[in-house]
Amino acid sequence: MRKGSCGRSRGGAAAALVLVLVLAALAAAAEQPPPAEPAGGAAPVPLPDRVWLEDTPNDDGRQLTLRWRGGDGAAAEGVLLQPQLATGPDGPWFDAGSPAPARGAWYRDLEPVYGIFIRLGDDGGHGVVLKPLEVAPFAPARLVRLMLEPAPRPEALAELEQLLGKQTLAAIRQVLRDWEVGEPDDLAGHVEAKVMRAVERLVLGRPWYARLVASRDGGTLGTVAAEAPLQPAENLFDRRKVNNLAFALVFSALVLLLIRRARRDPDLYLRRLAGLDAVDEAVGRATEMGKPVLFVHGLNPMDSVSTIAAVNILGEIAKRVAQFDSRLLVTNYDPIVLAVSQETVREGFTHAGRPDAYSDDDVFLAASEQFAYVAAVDGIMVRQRPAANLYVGYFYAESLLLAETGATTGAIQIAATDSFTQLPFFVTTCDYTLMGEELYAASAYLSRDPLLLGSIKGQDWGKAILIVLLVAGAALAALDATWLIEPLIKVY
Amino acid sequence: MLKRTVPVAIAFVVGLWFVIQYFVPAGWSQQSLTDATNWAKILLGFAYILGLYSLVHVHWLRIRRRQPGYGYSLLVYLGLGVTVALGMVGEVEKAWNLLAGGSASFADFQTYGGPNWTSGVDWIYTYVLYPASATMFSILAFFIASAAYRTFRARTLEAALLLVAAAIVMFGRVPLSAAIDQAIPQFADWIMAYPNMAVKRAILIGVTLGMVATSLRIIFGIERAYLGGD
Repeated sequence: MRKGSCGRSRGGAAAALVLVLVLAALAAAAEQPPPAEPAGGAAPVPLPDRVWLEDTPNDDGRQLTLRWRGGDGAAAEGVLLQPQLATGPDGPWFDAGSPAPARGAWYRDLEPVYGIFIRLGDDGGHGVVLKPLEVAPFAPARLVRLMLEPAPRPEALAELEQLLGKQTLAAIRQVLRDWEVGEPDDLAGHVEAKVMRAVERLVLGRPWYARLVASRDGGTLGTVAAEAPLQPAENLFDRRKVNNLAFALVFSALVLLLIRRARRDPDLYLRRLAGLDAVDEAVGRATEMGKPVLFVHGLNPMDSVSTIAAVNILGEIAKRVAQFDSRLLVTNYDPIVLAVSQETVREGFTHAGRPDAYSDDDVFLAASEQFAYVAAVDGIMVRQRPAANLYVGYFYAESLLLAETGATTGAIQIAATDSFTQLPFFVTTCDYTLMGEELYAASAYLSRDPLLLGSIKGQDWGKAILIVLLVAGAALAALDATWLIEPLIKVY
Repeated sequence: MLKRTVPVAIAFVVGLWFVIQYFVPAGWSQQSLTDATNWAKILLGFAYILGLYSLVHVHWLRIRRRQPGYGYSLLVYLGLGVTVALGMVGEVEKAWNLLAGGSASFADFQTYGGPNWTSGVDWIYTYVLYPASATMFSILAFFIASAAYRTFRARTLEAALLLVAAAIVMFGRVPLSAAIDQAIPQFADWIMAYPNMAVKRAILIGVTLGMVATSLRIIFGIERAYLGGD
């Protein structure tokens, strides 16, 4: 009985001990659940063991790169890492961009942003680019709208203060006062652009906190915060463009060197350009026939290099027309090109000793609408029957309409364009066509100025270098050694 | 000095800055490009006054001298007058409302006209300008045919090659070619992707180098013809 009683007592103690242990284990489990214990008893999911922020290079200070290492083993299959941003260490946190797969978003994949001249390596690191201004609560337009509410709601003000802090809010208010913006309607035109830009700078000009929230199948697995906050910085050099800069420097040095050489040795050889040799013939013919020479500008505005080249050619043509005592009609599409052309032709006539022969009415705006321009120029061709038509500049669909009408009038036609899509039309309808780079060489060729000719030599050397690089590149590509040529040809 | 040295100095400083600016991604650098573009737009606005004067003056001379086709110049005046009148009346109405303390605000001027008056401008655009432009554009089809005929009848080797290549490409673009043999459209694509692309890129490389050389000539003041003289 005693024995029996003792046995019961021992059994009860053991049961109580087990119960205590179970309860203790349950309590521990309730206090500290394993963060990445997957269902089904699989191995636990390791979270990234190091997360940090770095400034995104080559940008205007609107981006941050969130980097991390680890947490990408086989057990992390299907795990998503949501980057979040905040302006304080305790939040509030907001999703920044889409979730990244734990086994993807490799740091090396950021090459389009970083460029090939920054070594990204292949050490298994991960990274995503975050854009704080694209996180909805921090969008400058929203912030300004909230601040411009006629009677700001206390909760809106509290939210703004929590997001940006008192100092930044005061600075934004000052910006709005400086630009005299008191209500949303005041935000118009350049005022809106200036205010938004100032607000952007103020929002970005503070430290940003980041973290990664891991989840799988909608369930959160854990959170890892970045080591330290970071303020995005504006970069002074786009390192993706190193190859571009190198080529620009080499080519510029070459051109300037050959221009300098041309000062010493002005007798530079330049191959003949039949189209330009025919200019004198065309102008002479116009004089004999008592008909005008028609110079037709392309459609591009004055900031286009092809239009500048056209104006340069126009100056030389004007001198010849004045020397031959003929008449020059210049049709323009753009009013700024018109003003420059009038000045250029006037100077050309003055240079030739015939300022009296110049008339502003001969250099005019035909139209500022593409097909209205065609109609106007075609009308001049049909009615006035110019002896020579010169089409110089960048043309679009109007090229054939102009040149074909000109061809039916029996005029000598010379075209000069860098618009390769229109070249076939000019080649088929004009007597002479200056193709591509010949447009840019034309003013040097016509003026025979040694300094200008020197720059043409520079162009030729640049082309020679490119041909060598192209042949070498093709050979290396054939040998599957593209990594050797990539730094030269990669463009961002 | 004002006519030569100052413009050349401005071209040097601004030209060099925008070469450098291309490599500087910082916000203030991008902003300088935006500002310059905005200045260009403002200049263009003023230049349109010059352009309008030129247009009006040239057509006035034609009318006064009774030059052949001066009736078209009368049409220019008519079109200009009606369009400007319809476009302006709505704006004048808004300006009047603004001055009289009415409901119109500055932001209203950014919207395109008012409901009544813009309908007139829209009507001109939709039923006059647009069909007239389409008519001009449609002539292109006939001009392409006549230009092609003139080119292809030439008796040179180059013209013959052009004719053969063009015939293959044109035929390769219609469904009948694929029905006959899949190789025909494939060959047409090959012509476009390789020989045609090679020539196109060669021209583009030359154009690019020409642009850079011309820009350098302008930046360093070697090319000054655009200033009106040598």
